[in-house]
Amino acid sequence: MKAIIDAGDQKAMRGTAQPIDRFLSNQGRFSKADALYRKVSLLNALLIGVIAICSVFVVINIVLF
Amino acid sequence: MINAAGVAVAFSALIYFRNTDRYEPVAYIAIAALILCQISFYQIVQYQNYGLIWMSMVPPFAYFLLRRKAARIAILLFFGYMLYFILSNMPRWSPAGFNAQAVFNILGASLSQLLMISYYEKTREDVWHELNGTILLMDESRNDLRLILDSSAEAIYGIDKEGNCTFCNRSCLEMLGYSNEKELLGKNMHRQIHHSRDDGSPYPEEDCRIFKAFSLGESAHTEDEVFWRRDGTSFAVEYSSFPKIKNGDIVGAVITFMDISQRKEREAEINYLSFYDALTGLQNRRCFEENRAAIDTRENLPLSVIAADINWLKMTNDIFGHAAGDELIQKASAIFRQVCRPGDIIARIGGDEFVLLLPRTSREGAMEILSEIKSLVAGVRVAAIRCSISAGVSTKTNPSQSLDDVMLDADNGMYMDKTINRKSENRQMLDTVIGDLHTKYPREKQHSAHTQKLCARLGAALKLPANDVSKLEQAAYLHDIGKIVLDRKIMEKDVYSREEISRIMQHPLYGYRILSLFDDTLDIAGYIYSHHEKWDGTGYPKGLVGEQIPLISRIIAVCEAYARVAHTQRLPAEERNPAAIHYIREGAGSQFDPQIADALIQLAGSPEKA
Repeated sequence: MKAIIDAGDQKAMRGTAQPIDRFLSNQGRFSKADALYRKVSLLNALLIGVIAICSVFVVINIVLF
Repeated sequence: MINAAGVAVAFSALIYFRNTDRYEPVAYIAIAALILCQISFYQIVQYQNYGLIWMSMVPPFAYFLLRRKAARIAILLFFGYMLYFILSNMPRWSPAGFNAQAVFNILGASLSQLLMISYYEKTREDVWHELNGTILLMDESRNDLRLILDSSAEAIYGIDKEGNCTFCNRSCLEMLGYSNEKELLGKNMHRQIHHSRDDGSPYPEEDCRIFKAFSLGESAHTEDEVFWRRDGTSFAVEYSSFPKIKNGDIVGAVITFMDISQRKEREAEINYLSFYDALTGLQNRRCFEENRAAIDTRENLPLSVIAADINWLKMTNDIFGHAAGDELIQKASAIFRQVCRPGDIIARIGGDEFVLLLPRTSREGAMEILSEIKSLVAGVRVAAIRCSISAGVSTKTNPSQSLDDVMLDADNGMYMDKTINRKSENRQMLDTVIGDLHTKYPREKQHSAHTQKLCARLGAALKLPANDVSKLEQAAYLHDIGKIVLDRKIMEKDVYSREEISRIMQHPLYGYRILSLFDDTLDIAGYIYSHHEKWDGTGYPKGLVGEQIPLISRIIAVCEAYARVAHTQRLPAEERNPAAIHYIREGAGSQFDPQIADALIQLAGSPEKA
């Protein structure tokens, strides 16, 4: 049953899902039926957020100091 | 510098995660990066613009991404450091100004919290749906499992570690005589259904094979025990027990069983039949061969052997059917049992052969036993057969003697007895059969005498050799001996059904069979067989024509017909002889040999009438 849901989700990912969803789910390798799906999405978002914020501060540091 | 390191770490973690999908280490790195990022941020901005409000973002991320324990440690470390940071820097801080940056921080942190809460809620909703789906699937699986359990002909029940029932199927309830699962659930199954052995003696739980096997995590299979029903009766079972293991620990067992009472009964019956004769209940040859060695000991000397053979069994079977033959065997066996003592071995080793092994019995003692058997057997009658046995006795008195030789000796004695007594036995048996026939049907006795007398005269008139006349007389007297097999009701009737006629037509055949068994009558059996053949070929049993029919049979046929009409009670005395002559004349050339018919008519017309 899980395999069928996974296959269906992956197909949907490949066909219609947004690029953001694909990015957040490691190119669809973590499907919605996967227990880690939401954690993986949040983790990717957090890493991107940290990179973005830290980069901003790096630029600010360089410019201001 | 710290921010640059944060970018590098976060970027590396992202690349690593996307290549390997290893969630857990990346989650730790991400939380560490988040904390480092915040610490560096507070190092720069200190207390200004309500920036500390971003601290509230660490717990939601930590709890969401890490295991609970790890999250608590990370949060504790972070807030511990922040407390230290605040306390150590607070004296230098002045009241914070409320400006656009402060508004940005408060709104940004609040919005972030809101997003996290939404994300939590969405996740919780998804998990809830998934859980409901799983519960539905589990219900379906449970129903399927229940259906499979209940449709199984095999009884199945489960027990926990203490031996208490956790489930049972319908077959289990039916076999054990319970109507509801609740009557067993939670109860100790050993005490409920396995408390006693087959003989009723207690069966302690610590000795129970199911309990022992599942305690050791092993399976068990047994088919020599019993389970006890609710009503207190027991039944033989074949059961298998399998341990139930969860996370490496034994948590119980599943037991499947079948009622094998019928199988056991059949096995016992087969076992009995392989050692005992079904007809008599005596030991058979196989059993005898196994037991004789046990009885052949020095302590049992003198050991006498009686070899016995039931006479006339074949005739009984041939003439009166196998039911009568079986009755003869059963009655003789009953007498053997009656006379023999406990400890004696009686075996039926062949169709009509028996062996009696008599331990601690001298030859004289054995002869006494045999004498008693013979005298009791002589009183047994089956149909028209008087039961008799031929027997030989031999005794082993010396341990060096072979029991085989002793048995052979007894066997030879039996054959000698049979040979010596054959003639008198034959005569007695023939007299018994004839006597029985004439006792049953007195008219037949008169008819035999009349036919015999007439045949003797006709044979002389036809100038037959003396030897043939003698045979003719004997055959004439015995010509209807085959009627011994006929039912009295048939014999007393005047009108017969088709089946009865068919049965009556077999009497020449039975007469032939009986007479061919005796030496004295073997040569006349064929004449009896053909005495209902007709000159024109319409007779029975073979439909012989003319001179194909033996002469003696033809003479008997004419005389027998004449005698029957000439002595009938249905006609007045003065009309009988003319009627008989008329009957023979009418049948001459069709039913009877014309020459013999003429000779009889002449004889019947002479002064000395038939």
